[in-house]
Order: sequence, then structure tokens, then C-alpha cells
Amino acid sequence: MPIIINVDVMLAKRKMRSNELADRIGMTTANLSILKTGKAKAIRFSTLEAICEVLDCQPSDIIEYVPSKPDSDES
Amino acid sequence: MKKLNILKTLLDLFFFFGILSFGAVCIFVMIALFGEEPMNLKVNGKDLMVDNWGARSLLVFWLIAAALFVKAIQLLRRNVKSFVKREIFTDEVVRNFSYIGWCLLISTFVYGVPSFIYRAIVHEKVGLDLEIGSFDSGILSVALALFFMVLSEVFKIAKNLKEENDLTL
Repeated sequence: MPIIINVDVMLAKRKMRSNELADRIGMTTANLSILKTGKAKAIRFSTLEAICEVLDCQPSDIIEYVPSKPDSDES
Repeated sequence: MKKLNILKTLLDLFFFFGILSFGAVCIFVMIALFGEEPMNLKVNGKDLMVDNWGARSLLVFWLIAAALFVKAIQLLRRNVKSFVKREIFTDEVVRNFSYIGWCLLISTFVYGVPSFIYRAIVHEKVGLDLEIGSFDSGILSVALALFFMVLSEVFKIAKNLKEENDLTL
């Protein structure tokens, strides 16, 4: 999927652990792991808002669009 | 979930008696196939004099149709068991519904087509007995088979939607 989740990067920048983020946004660590590994199909605005609030960042810092290469689509 | 339990009980009974009667029918068919004396059987209200190879082949086709019908009941029973366990949108349920549809469809044709050919050749009567409105009509069986196939597709869509919903954070 061409949408990349950069929660890991923001966590490293803020020197915060996944457990702490999960606790503060009211999400289970299992679900946060799904988000971090890019397995999530969608993200609610409320979840995005909570993550941005806790990590003090913009949605664009967390979500990034990287166009997929034509070669990788064919394979 | 009371209705589901009633359905499960009914299917358990239906499957149990289905297996028992299928076993008994198998024995009778073996006797009719390999016995030397001609046998007069009544299957689904139709008289069949088993005294030639045509009638014997027809009997074998009817047996296959009955086996497929019992298999369909068994698969439906398995799905209802999954529903009781709250395992609703799973690959197994989707697959079973599709198999039930195919079993019913093949069973209807395996029962109907040889009967039609046998009647045409042996009794020299060509015609369709549609029995519209009857509970054991061929049209109803085909419609039911197609319904199960459609149900399988619907469950497949529902399963994907559920997965998507579960992965929405």
C-alpha cells in the first residue's frame, strides 16, 4: 500500500515508548502494533487526533503517501 | 438464539435419519442391483421396476443424488454449529455455503436428467414434470441451490467488511 505510517519515527523523535502512547490515546498495544506495521485498513479521525495531540505533531508527520512503482504493481 | 438451537436440533435429527435411511437404501439398492429377481421399488412416489440395466443405472444415479443431498445437510449442520459458536464470518462458513449450493444443484441434475432420459427411452414418454408449487420440485431445488451460492457470496462480502472494520483503528 502506498500509504506509509510513521508513528515509529515520531515515537523515536519524542522519545516515547509504544506502551505509553497506547495508554495515553486509549488504544490497546495490539492495535497500535497493527497501525505501526501498516496492517490497518483505515484510521478514524478521532484516533488520528489523539495521536497528533499526544505526539504534538501534524497528521502529515504520521501518514505519508509514497507512490508505488509501476514495476511493483505488475509483479 | 432460540431459533438457532431449534434449527440445529432439527438438522441433527434430519441428518441422523438421513444417514440411517441412506444406509438402508444402499442395502436395498445392492440387492436390487445384484439380485436375480426383478424388484419393484417406489422412490419419491415414482414406481420403478428394476429388471433391466437401464433401471439399475437409474437407481445408481438416484443413490448418488441422495448421497449429495445428505452431504448438503451435513454441511448445513456444520455451518449452524459454527453459528452457535458465534463463528459467523469465517472462510469455512463461506466455503460450506458454496459447497451446499453445488451439492444441491448436482443432486437435482443427477436425479432429474437420468430420470428424464430413462422415461424417454423405456416408457417412450418425453415431457417435463415441473411440479411448480410442490415442495420437492426440481425448480425449487435449483432455486435453493442458487440461493446457497448467493449466500456464500454475501457471506464473503460480509467477511471482508468485518475484517476491514476490525482493522479500522
